[in-house]
Amino acid sequence: MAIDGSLLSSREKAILALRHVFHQYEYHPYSKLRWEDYDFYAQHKAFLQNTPILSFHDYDGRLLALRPDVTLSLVRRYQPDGLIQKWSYEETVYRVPEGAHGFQEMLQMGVECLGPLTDKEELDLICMAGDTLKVLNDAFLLDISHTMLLPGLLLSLQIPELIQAPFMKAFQKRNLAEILSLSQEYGLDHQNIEIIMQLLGHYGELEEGLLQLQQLPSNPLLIQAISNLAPLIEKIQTQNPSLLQHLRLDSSMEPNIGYYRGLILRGYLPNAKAAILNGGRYDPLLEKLEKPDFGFGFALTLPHDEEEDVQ
Amino acid sequence: MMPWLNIALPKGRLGEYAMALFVEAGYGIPDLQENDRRLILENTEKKVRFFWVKPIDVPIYVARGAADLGIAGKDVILEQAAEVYEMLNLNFGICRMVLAAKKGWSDQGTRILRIATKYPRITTRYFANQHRQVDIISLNGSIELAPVVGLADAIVDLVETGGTLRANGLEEIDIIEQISARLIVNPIAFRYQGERIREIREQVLDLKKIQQKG
Repeated sequence: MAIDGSLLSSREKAILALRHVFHQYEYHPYSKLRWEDYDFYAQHKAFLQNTPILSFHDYDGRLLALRPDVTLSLVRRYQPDGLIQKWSYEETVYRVPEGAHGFQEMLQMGVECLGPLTDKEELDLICMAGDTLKVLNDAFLLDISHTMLLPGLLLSLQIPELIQAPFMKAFQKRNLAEILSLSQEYGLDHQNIEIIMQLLGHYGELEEGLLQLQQLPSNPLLIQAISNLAPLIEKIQTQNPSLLQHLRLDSSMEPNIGYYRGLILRGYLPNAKAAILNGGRYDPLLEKLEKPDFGFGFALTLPHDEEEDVQ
Repeated sequence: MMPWLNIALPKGRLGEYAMALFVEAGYGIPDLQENDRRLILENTEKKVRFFWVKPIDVPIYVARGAADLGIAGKDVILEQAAEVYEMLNLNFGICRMVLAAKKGWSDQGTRILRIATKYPRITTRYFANQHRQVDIISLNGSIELAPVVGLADAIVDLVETGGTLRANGLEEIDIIEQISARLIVNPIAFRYQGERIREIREQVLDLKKIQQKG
């Protein structure tokens, strides 16, 4: 029976289009996820950064939980076989969004790439994140950063560890007034602060941001971030140049889930209320679950009633 | 087509000062009348729209994207803990958030302190940083009365000159935060209307510099 497209809502059409993108990149639907024991999330609370967990008792008294995050559950069930495994999913998650007064049910569609990953898979995932956002809105923006970037910025300013917390907070909030006042208070180098203010006050393309970063005094963390980001830009320039205009460097980005290390992504649409796509490289999660491999993925949280976000 | 840029202004003195600054920066309202009671004002040429909202609500309007920019006191930004970028200190509406109590009072550390305030979140964080357990009493006004009538041991409140504290026999124990008006920006608007927002920020910044020199 043929499906009459006019019967589908724009959200349902977007879901079908996203499935198509995942399929094109050869990701296979993963459907073995069930309830999790509450203990599983309690053990990994640090990764979830104390996200509240909605729990309930089963008939036999076991304490179970409604999933706040899909990656943890999927990686828990992942069986390494020496090959790269590509999984996609559509799952309901239960979270308390920033500023909300209670749990909300959200549909997440995402992908996880697990195994002996190389630069190629990282590049493919970033291109795929772009294609995924494009399905929802042509005017998408994809912010890219690295978990070492923000600590690297603090190190390049030679901010003593004891006073790093207020600087970190000001960087994340792009609080230029606070950065200026703190830097005056602690007598930091004026020229370096100018570069930081440019980086945070501006929202330029990825390449421009990277050039600004290279003007700062070098340190191992910054080098690690730049050496991961720079070759990626070169490859995108040759393999997917149209994506570049949508990419931005977000030097203020801090991962909202604790298991990321390496590249991190955040995607935006013009009418959305917050970032709609989150993702990154999460090797520490595999280490913690004693699975000697690498992992990279992203997830889109689909708006429920805000169909104007979807073209 | 250029989209509208929505700016949330706090009702009252702070908002009026901010509005005057925007007018001077070239974002005036052509049909503005004396004692204008409209809550939405527009400059159709510049495609800028101003909303008058309750001061405590400005960060919410901006964080939720109903406004792209807003002017808010640092006190309400901290109290609402909204996801906004704080891009300029406007250096007006200057005051301080303080812990105050009756003259001669000191914390003996022998019991849970009772603190009256309009700012429960800021108060909670302040005492949590000191590892001190407190009983927060949320009030909506006349906070200075609370220690005088024995409702609270101390208060956390905004102080400009300190006159009201002195008149009620209270004194400052500690300064929690220096407060002034800030230009706040919605993170999505920062990404999609960054150029216009930066232009406004620069114009306001230049005006502030001229005012300071003058």
